[in-house]
Amino acid sequence: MKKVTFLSALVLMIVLATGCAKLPQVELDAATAALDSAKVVEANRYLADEFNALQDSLNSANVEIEAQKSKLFISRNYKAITEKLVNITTSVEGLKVRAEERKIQVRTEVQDTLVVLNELILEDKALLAKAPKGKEGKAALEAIMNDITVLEASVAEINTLITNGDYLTAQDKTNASKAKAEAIKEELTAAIGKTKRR
Amino acid sequence: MGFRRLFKKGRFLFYIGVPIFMAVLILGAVTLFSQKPPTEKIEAARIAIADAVKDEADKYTPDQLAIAQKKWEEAMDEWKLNNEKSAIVRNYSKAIVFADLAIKTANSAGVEAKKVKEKLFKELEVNIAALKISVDYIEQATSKLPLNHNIRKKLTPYLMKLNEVESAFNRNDLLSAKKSIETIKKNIEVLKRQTTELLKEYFSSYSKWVKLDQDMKQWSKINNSVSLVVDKFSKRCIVYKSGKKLREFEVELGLNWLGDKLQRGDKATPEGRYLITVKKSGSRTIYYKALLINFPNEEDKIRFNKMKAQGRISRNAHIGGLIEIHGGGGRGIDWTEGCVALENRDMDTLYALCSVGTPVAIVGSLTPMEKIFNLEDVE
Repeated sequence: MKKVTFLSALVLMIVLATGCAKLPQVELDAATAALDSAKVVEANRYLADEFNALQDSLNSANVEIEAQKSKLFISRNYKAITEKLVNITTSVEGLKVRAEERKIQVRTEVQDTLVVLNELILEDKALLAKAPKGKEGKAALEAIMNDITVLEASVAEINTLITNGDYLTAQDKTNASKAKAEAIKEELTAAIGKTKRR
Repeated sequence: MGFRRLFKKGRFLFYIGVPIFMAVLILGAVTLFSQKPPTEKIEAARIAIADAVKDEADKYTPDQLAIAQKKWEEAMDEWKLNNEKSAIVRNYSKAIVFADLAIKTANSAGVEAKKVKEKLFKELEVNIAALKISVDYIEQATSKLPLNHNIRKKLTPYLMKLNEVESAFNRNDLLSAKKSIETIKKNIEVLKRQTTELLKEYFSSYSKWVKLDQDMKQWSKINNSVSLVVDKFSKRCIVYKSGKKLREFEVELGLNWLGDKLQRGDKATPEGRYLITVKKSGSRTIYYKALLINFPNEEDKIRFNKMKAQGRISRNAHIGGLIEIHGGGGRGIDWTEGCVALENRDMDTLYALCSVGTPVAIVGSLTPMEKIFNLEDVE
């Protein structure tokens, strides 16, 4: 008889143990921490849509956890949520990598354009030296020299933006400065072209 | 024996059955009397917030979205708090109220964000287009103005900023674009107005210039001789002979050629009617060949003295002189101290055509301002 009592108690314990499924706290903390770390690498700025989608998945997982907690202990099941949280953590890690890659890509683009911009400024300066010589020429081209000074100031600002990791703003500034440097080159080339006809 | 077995079986069923029955009874009662969890409401709130974020409420209506998110978090906290209680005493009404508020605020944030974005997009599109027209106009004007003119110097930083605005706009960063455009909009408009005023003031003598041109043409016809007209705006020297245009040469002018010459050293090319007084060549000029004109004429002297008396120029100012049409041009820029420079081969031709006494009219422009600049479109 003792055996029967023991057996029935064991069955009940198994039922209770199965019913009281374990809350995926470790997985939840990991997913939350992963999303916080994604913000640090500016995934929310460089890949905003993907970041927002994952943030929403985490919110959804939180809702599901509470929904399970609202159920009777014997019917709770965190298996699907645990898998979801693991997937979120994995996806966030992937997102972080892609965000870093995107940042590097933008930074490389900015740095490449900056190299072109610096070369253009040097070309502009060289053309300015070739442009009408003498004191008259120098005075006449003062405005262009002024433009080149503005470009050089812009290069300094771009370098600061790069140092601060604000690559998108740096990209806007680099493109704008490059367009101006090209316009100056065109203007000086035209002026020199006219001089050569003499 | 059979009875004992039956009794044992009964006891067995009793030991198993009663706990199960009791458990089912308790669970049934708990299920029956406990409140339904707010899963659907809170889930709906989450979806509403996610939709609002998709509509970029985080950028365009961040305050509303923050309220929605706070209400959702409060709903979640309330739910969590109740989940820690016994099922039969749970009360989700507060959580439902918070979730409802979150839904309402998130929906409103999403709708508003779309409107704000659409409005901002249109506003930026219109402003960028308008500023580009203004900048094109200023650039077009400054390309015809003296190179060192203040307007040109001021334009470059604004032009670069406008390019930055467009770059941010193109990558859908409307907020950065808005922030930057506000810093330059007013300045570009001021520069455009200054440009228009400058041109209008400059072209106010247009009818006088046209008359001077007609006089030169008429003079050459009556005298069956050569007369010259220098058109500063188109940078051309026109040679009339016997009432007809004989030749046209490109010229370069004083560094600050826009406007009449006021005093020595202002690097402006004078405007008015003059005569060639001396022909220079060889060692008499450093600019290949030169035709000296009688600047300042009587009209120039009267104006200079009047301006001096009015204090518009310094009391120590000198009217200047030695204005020539000379060689050494073809530099591609305006570089002289106020003279008119031609390429040497053109100077050879002009020198041969002119003699002492040949009349020269230097005018601002023979083309009306409206034909050079489309001011109406800009205004």
